This record gives sequence, C-alpha cells and structure tokens, in this order.
Amino acid sequence: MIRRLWRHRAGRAGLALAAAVVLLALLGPLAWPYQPDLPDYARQLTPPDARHWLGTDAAGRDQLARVLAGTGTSLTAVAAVFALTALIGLVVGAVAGFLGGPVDAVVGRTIDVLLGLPPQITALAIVGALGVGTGNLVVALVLAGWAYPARIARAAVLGSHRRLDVLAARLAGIGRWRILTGHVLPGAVTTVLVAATTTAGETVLTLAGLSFLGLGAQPPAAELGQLLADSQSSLVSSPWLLIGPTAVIAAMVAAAMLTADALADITDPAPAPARAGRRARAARTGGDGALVATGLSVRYPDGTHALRGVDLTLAAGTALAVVGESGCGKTTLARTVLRLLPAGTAIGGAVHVAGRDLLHLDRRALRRSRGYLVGYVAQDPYAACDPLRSLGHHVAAPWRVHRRRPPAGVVRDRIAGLGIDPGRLRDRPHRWSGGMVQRATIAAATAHRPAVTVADEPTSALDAGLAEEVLATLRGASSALLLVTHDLRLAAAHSDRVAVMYAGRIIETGRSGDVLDAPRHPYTAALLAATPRPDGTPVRGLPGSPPSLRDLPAGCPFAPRCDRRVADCASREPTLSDGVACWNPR
Amino acid sequence: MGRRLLSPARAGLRRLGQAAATLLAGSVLVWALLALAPGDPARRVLEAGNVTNPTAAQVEAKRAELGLTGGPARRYGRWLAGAARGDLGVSWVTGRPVRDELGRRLPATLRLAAAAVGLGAVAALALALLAAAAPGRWPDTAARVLSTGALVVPGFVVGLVVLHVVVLRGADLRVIADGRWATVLLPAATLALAPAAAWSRVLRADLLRAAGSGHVDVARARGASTWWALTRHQLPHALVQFLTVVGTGVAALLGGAPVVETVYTWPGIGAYAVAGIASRDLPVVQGYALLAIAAYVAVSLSVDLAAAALDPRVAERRR
Repeated sequence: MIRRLWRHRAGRAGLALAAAVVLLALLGPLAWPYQPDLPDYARQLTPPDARHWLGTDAAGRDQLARVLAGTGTSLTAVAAVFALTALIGLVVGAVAGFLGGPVDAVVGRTIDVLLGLPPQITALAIVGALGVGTGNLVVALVLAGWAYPARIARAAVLGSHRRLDVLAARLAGIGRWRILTGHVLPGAVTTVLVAATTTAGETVLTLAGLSFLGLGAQPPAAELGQLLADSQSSLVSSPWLLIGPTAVIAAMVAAAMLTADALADITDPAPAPARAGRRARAARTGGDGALVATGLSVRYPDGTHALRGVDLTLAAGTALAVVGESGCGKTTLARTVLRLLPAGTAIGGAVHVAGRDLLHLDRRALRRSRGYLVGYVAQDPYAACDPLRSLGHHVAAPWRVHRRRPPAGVVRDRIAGLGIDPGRLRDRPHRWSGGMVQRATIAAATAHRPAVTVADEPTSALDAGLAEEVLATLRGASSALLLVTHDLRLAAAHSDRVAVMYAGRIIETGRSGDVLDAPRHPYTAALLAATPRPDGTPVRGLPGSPPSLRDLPAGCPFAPRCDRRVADCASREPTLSDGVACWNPR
Repeated sequence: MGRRLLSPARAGLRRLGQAAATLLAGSVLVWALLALAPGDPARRVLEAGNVTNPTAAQVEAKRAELGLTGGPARRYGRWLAGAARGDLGVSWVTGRPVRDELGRRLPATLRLAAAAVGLGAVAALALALLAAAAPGRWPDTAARVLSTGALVVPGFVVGLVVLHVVVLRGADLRVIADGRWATVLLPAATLALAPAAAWSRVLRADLLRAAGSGHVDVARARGASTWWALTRHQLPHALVQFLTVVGTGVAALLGGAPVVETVYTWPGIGAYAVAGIASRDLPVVQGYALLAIAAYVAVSLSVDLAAAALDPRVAERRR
C-alpha cells in the first residue's frame, strides 16, 4: 500500500510531508540548541534573526524551540486519536457486521445516530465534562470520531459470510473467531485506515482549535494551537509568532489531505481525466454530398486507435447505416462527426458537412453550426433528456440554446406531428414511454433541418416493434441520416446504403439490399448469420472477439476469426476496393 | 422496477423519525456528560454559592433540588422533561438560569452563522462555476490553490491575521464586534473560509460529473455554449447535492463558531460555552451542546426535505 502511495503523485507528496513533520518533531529538539521553556527577559519579542530563526515570544523563549516541542505534543495527540478511532471503529464495526442479527442491528443504529451529530460539538461538550488537558482532548475526539470508521468497517464486513474464501474456511472447520481475525478483519483494515485518514486533517484542525481555546495542553507545556493563543497578546507588534505554528499545522493537514486523496484514487481507480492536446492537421478536401469523410483517423489519449482511415459519403436525402460489433469504431465515427470527442484525442483526415470543413470550425462557428449542420439522436432517450426539465423544454431547446425563441406554434405542431398529446408537454421525461421520449428527441435533433442527422443506436433501448416505428419517424424527419447500429438487418431495412466496420475501418460497403442479400466479406456474412431472422434459420454466434485497437497485429484484423483465410491475410491488410476489403471475398 | 417506491409523504415521515432518534441520542449524550464530569455537582453548586464547607444535609438537599436523586432512568426522564420545557438548569458559576444566559447570546450567533452560510455558499458557487467552466485551465488552478489554502490553514489563524495584523496595525481602523449585523462581515468571512473551500470542491466535481451525462452531450451537439450547459443542465443537477453538502457543512460552522467568536470576542453562545468549559460550568456546556445539536439536526432535516422537494428522484431513490 505504501509503495503504491509512493508511486502516486499526491500520495508521495503527502507521505513526504508527513515524514518531514515526524522528523521535525523527533530530531528537531535534539538539533536545536535552545530550550522551549527557558525564559530570557533580556530578549523579549525579538524578530527572527540568525540566532532565533522564528524570533522569541513575550517571555523571551525561543519560538522555534517551542514550535518543535509543540509539534511533538500535537503529533502525539493526533496519532493517538487516529490510532484509537481506527482501532475502536474497526473492532466495533467489524464484530457487529460479522455477528449480524440483533447485535448488528443495535450497533448499526447507534453508529447511524452518532453520525447524525456534529462531531466538533460533541468533542467540545465531552471536553467540557472531562475538563481541560491534552489527554481529555484525545478521549473526546475519539469518542466523537469512532463512528465513521466503524460504519466503514461494518460495511466492509457485512455480507462476508457469503464470500467464497470465508465459506471455504468454514467448511474446513475453522471457528468463527478465527475466521473473523484471519479472513475478515485483514480485508477491512485497509478500508478503515483509508476512512480514518480522510478525517485526520479535520482532527488536526479541531485539535488546534480546541487547544487554541485553552482546552488542551496547559502551560508551560507547548502545543501548536496553544502557542498561537499565547502569541495573541503580542501579535500587533510581533506577527511573525504566527508563522511557525501555522506552517506546521498546515503541513500536517496538507499531508493528511494529500494522502487521503491519493488513497481514494488508488482504491477507486476511475479513469484519469483526459488532458487537453493538439489535433493532427490534415489535408482538406471538399466534396459533394451531405457528409463526406476522407481518411478519417482517430486516436484516443489512451492510445486506442479507434478509426484507422475511414472514407465515406452520405448523399443528401439518403440514409447510410454504419454497422459493426461494439468496439469497431462506429460510435467514435458518430462522435467525430458530432465533434464530441474527449480533449486530447488526435484526429486526422477531414469531415465535410454540406461543404463545410467540420473539423476546422473554431469554437464559435462550431457552436453556431450545431443543430444546423449536424443533429444528434442519442442511444438512450432517457439519458438524452435532462430529467429535471419538461418535455416541452427539450423540444424548444434547439432554439433556446441559440438564444432564439421557437416560432409560434412550432413546438406544438411538432409534438402533434409526432403523435404526442400536446397537453402533456409539462411532464418530465420519466413519466413518458421510451418511444415517446425518443420521438421527442428526434423532433429536437431535427428542429433546424440539419444537413445530417447522426443517430447512435437510437433504438437499442426500445423494444422491437417500437424500433421500426421510431426508425421510420427518424428517416422521415432527417434530410440525410447517419444511422449507427449493431443490428445489420434492422439497419438495412431503414437505409439506402450500408457500411460495415471492423477494427476501425470500413470493410464492406454497398447498397443495403445487395449487402443483405449477398454479403461479400466473411465478417458481414458472419454478422448476418448472428442476427435472428424471422424465418427461423438457426442463429450462429460470431467466433472469437474483436481485436484490441491499441496495438493491432499486421495483416487483416479479422483473419484470426475468419473461415476463408488465405496466405495474404496474415501479412498484409486489405484495403477497400470495389466495396469490399478482403483478399478472398465471396 | 421491482422496488417499492416510498411516497414522498412516507419518505418525509421516515426522515422525521430519524431526526427525532438522533435528537434523542444527542440528549442522552448531553445528559451523560454529568456522569463523565469528576466531582459532585451538588457540592460544586454549593461552593459556587459561597458555601465553602457544606454539611452532608446541605449537599443532600441540593441534590434533591438539582434532581440528582433516583435511578439513572428517572434522572434522565426528569432532565429531558425539563429540557423540553426549556429548563436547562442554572449556571454553577452565576446561579442564573442557563436558558436566559444562552437566549441573550443566541441572536448574535444566529447572525454570525447565517452570514457565514450565505457568504460561504455564494463564494463556493462562484469558485466552482469558474473552475468547472475551464477544467484544467488557470481559473481552475487558481480556485484549487485558493481552496487548498483555506482548508489547510486553521480559520482562527486567518482571523488572528486579519484582526491583529491587518486591522489593528492599519492605524485607526477599529474592529467592533458587538454582535450586530453591521460588524458581522469579518467574523463571518473567517468562519466561512474552510467550509466554502470544501463546498466549492464538491460542487466543482459534481458539475464536471454532470458534464459527462448524455443529455449534456445532446445539448452541446445542439449548439449549447459551455456556460449554457453549465448553468442550465449541470448546475441544476449539482445543486441538490450542493444543498446537502452545505447542510452538513453547518456542522463545521457550528464547530468553528466557538473559536471564531472567541478570536473576535463576538458575544455569542460559542464564546460563552468556551468560557463555561474553562470555569467548569457544566450546565452551560450542556445547554450549548443541546442547542447546537438540535440546530444541526433541524438544519440537516430541512435540507434533506428540501432536496427531496427539489428533485423527486432523491425521495424515490431512498431505500
């Protein structure tokens, strides 16, 4: 765990800071010549100089020596609170979660209730009862703080009796407590330590605050918060007295925060946010047709080469279906045309929509063109709608986002034209059926009659009967349609042309009927065989799985799964010629 | 979807029950402080009343007067009944009812807390929107540096610097902290610093998370600007969570109030409670803790109910 923390940037900084503070507390008092509690009334409140690096306080004591001693006191108290909350939390939470039943019910409720109380107030009240002093402060903070790690420990252990290793141990005849200490607790220890770390920074600050109020260490003992309180009376003339204690407190809090952040990162590895990067330039080519893509290639920041030279033309007034398995690059193609790729993605080639160079539009022009050049219908109609906004809002949005008012009656007409009762415009999307929501998003996407409508799996969240209907609506509403789907049969029925994609390339393209009736690429044939047919021909699944787009081997990427392999397939990748990219087409 | 949805009314009732349970547990804890405290309370009260060497009979009588006779359950019941009526006992130091002492100072603390919540929420909102509009760019970095500084340095140190170094040194500027609205700005800003930093971080993360959802893509594909998407589609989703975070942040405000009130000599209940701890005046501490816990429970309850009202899915998602 420590090693993984060290490899994490924030984790390394946190560990280094923590180590620095510990070394300061341990070695500092040995190395520094002055005593923390030796007054020297000849040198009261001297500013920092070569002898007294942090100056002296009102009694002429060396401030650095006091800070070093105070760091020791504070660090010990924080460490004690950390260790005790983690230990008590671990034991109480884990035992309750492991035992289950009434014990767990009572402990679980107690933990929940305690977590509903404000921790600093609880700590303050307990100190109020116990009396002042560092020891009482630690007790108070532990009593106020054990519930959080206990909840984490309980959650980690709950349900462990169903875990395979625990079952195996039970079957092997190992006793309950041995299982708890040998199998269940070790797993919970890490999560509890992470939980305790997230509150450690808070502990440092609370401790400093309460000591500042005079509730912690009593003079002449030094403690960081109390040093700050001591300096209060002479601050107007000697503000430098704040520097030392504040710096150490800040370092301790920062160490805890950085370590906690890094631990959260390590234990929950979400993908790192993409970095902004530059885009590859490419030669411009004009062209006719609603959408013309030439030599389009896309590489994501993680190295995935999702598109590897795609050429396609979508003529105005027609529909082109892009078909393939998931991971073949079809969604990337759609998002490239929409210019919705993550920052840092390298794009090569060109895309022209209605004669305009889409990839080189600047931000302003791109924003203005959106909804006019390219419209977008997403896969899941519910996800495509802001759940907090009414359906009427979504239909009117195409005008509103461009700071325009929808023409009078247009929203109503469009809704009615889609067969939706205009009286329900104020309903939120979750009250509507999937088909209705999707038809409304189609209305929104095509509001400005964009040159191209891009639909990414627009029917995969709907049932089959509805899919036909929605696709017909989509077709009717679009001037030119780029339909991305995995369903070759459905696609062919609703498009003029089909482009089949595999491993980031188009491997077969042609008129929909031709491709459906007589597929020439073995992959297209396999894809067709894998889709259910109304006449009941048995379905044959596709063998193997698509290749990784990070490092493709030489040769045809489909060769390992192909039943028509020839010698060339392993060495050279075929390019599209006469509508098919294969060395041995049918 | 197979899961029984609670009606909003039932979900609200359930939350109300939780709040009541927490409040009750808090009252047990506050009452138990008396058992934690060393020494005999009856003797302490007598000594405070200048009876230096009380006789056993005097102590017994005082004990009965303070309601310290009988088993724990009876004593707790008596204490709770009193507290529910607003009777928090008498101060061991002054002999005056704790209720009056706290009541006199409560308005000042309420002003401070309200100003701090307002200032903090506005600052957090501004900082988070700036950061989320250009993630990774300089406004984001600046916001992060600022919030880290505010989180790492104790609030009272900032208060000390402001008070002693900037204001008192700055010639004839005087700080009057008399508990009125006119003087609330500096203490409230000091108190709000750390919570605002924490809130802005949560809000920034939620705004960016909302940016990744499908409907924001769709809005952007439609031509929505960054700012439009941010304010119309991301903020409304992050706002409910923000409200909840601000609600729980009230705990941090309540916890910080005693320190900030002491630094600025703000005449509120926090500074009074600190003085009570120093003089071992337990009823004052108990009264303060009970009041703070009740306030916290009430705030988190209303925040949760408000969140449910703002976003019906929150209520439906629960359990």
